[in-house]
Amino acid sequence: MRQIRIIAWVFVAVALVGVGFVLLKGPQPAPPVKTTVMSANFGGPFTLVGADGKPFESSQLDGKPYALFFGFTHCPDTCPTTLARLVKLRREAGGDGAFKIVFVTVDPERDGPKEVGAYAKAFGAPIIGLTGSPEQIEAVKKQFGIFSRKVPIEGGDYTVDHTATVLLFGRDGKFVATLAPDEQDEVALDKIERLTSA
Amino acid sequence: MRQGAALAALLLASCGSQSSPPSISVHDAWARATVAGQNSAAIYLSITNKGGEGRLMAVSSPIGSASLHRTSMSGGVMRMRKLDELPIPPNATVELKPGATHVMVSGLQAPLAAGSRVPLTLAFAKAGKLQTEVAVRAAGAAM
Repeated sequence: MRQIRIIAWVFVAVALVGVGFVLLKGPQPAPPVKTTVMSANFGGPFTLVGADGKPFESSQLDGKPYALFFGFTHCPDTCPTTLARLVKLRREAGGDGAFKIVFVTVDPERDGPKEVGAYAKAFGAPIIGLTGSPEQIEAVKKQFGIFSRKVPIEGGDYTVDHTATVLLFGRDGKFVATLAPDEQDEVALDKIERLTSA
Repeated sequence: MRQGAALAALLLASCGSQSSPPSISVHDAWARATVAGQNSAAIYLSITNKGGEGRLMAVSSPIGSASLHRTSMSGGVMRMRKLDELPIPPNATVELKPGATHVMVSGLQAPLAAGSRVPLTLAFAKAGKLQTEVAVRAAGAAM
């Protein structure tokens, strides 16, 4: 009998602590959205320069989902790996027409329309290569939360540290998800499925 | 008898990973094709060591200026930095692969054409120089 009383009191104590905790903390905020790039003014319309040297308006992407990746053509490892992976994932997700792949250079000083065009063509599947004036590129980087910084290497050359996250946008131009370079293909394909069905 | 035991101990000691020489082989070297104007490329390969502690000290190729680099990812930002050397532990295979450690070639003399082969020399601390051929795959080749 005594044991039962003790157990009952323990329950009461635990319950009181719990209530106190909730009162102290107040209403719980909604869990944070698991992405660093979501904000009210994320993305939005832009004007860059296409491989033909003509202005490229973001409205030209309307009506089809697209994957946006920022890089540079002299990037030996991450950029070709990411673009080749996107081409592969797109084929697995329904073929070259499932969504558009858009490559924007963060190195407009070296990557003109001709360079981004030739680079985008090298992957054996349609990729839209874009460049622009340094000011245009800066503006678009800011719009999409992209970081980049030139780093000198031996021989007077430089490489560019940059955000390697792929941004996915639905056919209505709305942000859907990001793809990380080191995530499993299954996870990426799940997001692409959401992208193409959105 | 005693002498025999001492000799056996000595032989055993010399077989330990500390003092035995590395026995290194290099295989599956490949690179992605590049387009005209692209001045750098990455070479990937596997290095197997069946002996003692090994160390890759330098890489070279007639196609450009080669060096060891490591790509790292932090907060979604890709960074690539030069490595001075790469340890090749005993009885292990070290993979140089996309998004990680790789041979970077800058100042490419000419574009790398898919289907071609280019030479690569690897200089190890004790195992000396090894030559391998790098298979150039299509730029869009999956890893």
